[in-house]
Amino acid sequence: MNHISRRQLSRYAVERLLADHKISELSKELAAVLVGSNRNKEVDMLVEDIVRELEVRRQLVNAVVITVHPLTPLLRKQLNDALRKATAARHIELDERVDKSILGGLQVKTATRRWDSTARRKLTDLRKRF
Amino acid sequence: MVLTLSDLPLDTATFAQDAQASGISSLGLNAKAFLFQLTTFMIVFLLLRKFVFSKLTATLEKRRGVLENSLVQAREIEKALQDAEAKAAKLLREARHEADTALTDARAQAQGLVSAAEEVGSQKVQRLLAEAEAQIRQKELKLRQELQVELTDLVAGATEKIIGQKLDKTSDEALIESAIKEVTK
Repeated sequence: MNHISRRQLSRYAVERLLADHKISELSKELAAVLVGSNRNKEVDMLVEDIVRELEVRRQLVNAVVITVHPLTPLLRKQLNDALRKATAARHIELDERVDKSILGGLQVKTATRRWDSTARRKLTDLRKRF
Repeated sequence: MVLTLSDLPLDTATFAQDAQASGISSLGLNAKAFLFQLTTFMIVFLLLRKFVFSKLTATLEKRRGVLENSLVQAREIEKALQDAEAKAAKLLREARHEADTALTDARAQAQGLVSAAEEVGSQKVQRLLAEAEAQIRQKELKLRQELQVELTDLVAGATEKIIGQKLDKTSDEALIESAIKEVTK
């Protein structure tokens, strides 16, 4: 049996998704391949690879957004537009999270990029500069 | 009144007779006895000369030779003694000279050693001072670095607290807005 890499699987999955195949069927196929090759533990990594592949193909960007206070609708829209402009992706999904430890500002992480404009990061840079 | 020979009442004839009659006898000597004694003396003398004088002379000569030898030896000994004394004096002078030279050399060597030791000591002190100075500089640098880190931590901590207290929602939104602009750059 030929070994199929996770990257190959993710590309296959993205192509199937873009071809409007049913997600449930695609999920079964992928699960069958992973179980058949005894790689059950790679499910999470496969999902990450699929998300990365979607971002690379400018189809979907899943961004984790960390702030101290929840985003206002206006800021959410501004961020959505900014990410769309930065990645040129068709769809933007924001996974908003609140974390007081960043002190202030904003941190955005996608599958391939990361923006960190938090007060915590600026303090760390200042400390390193000293 | 001055008396002369002719004034003496002497009978010259009597006087001459008396003189002739007495001769050697008048001196109280007996000619025969004299001859006999002379002969005896000669015999004794010859005997002595033959048996005694020769040995005595030889003995004396031998003694004289011994004495002369002794004198010669004494002179030689005296000369040897003088030579030995001169040699001893010379040796003593040389020994003193050598001792003086050795002492001078030793003093010079000691002075040299002292100077060398002082030089080495001075160099060692200089090296120790330099090492101590370097260690002090290193410690100072390390302390400065530690102080800087502590100061930075303090400043950062204080800033962090101030930001936590002072950064209200409005300020944070302004900050987020600024951050969003960074995303598009």
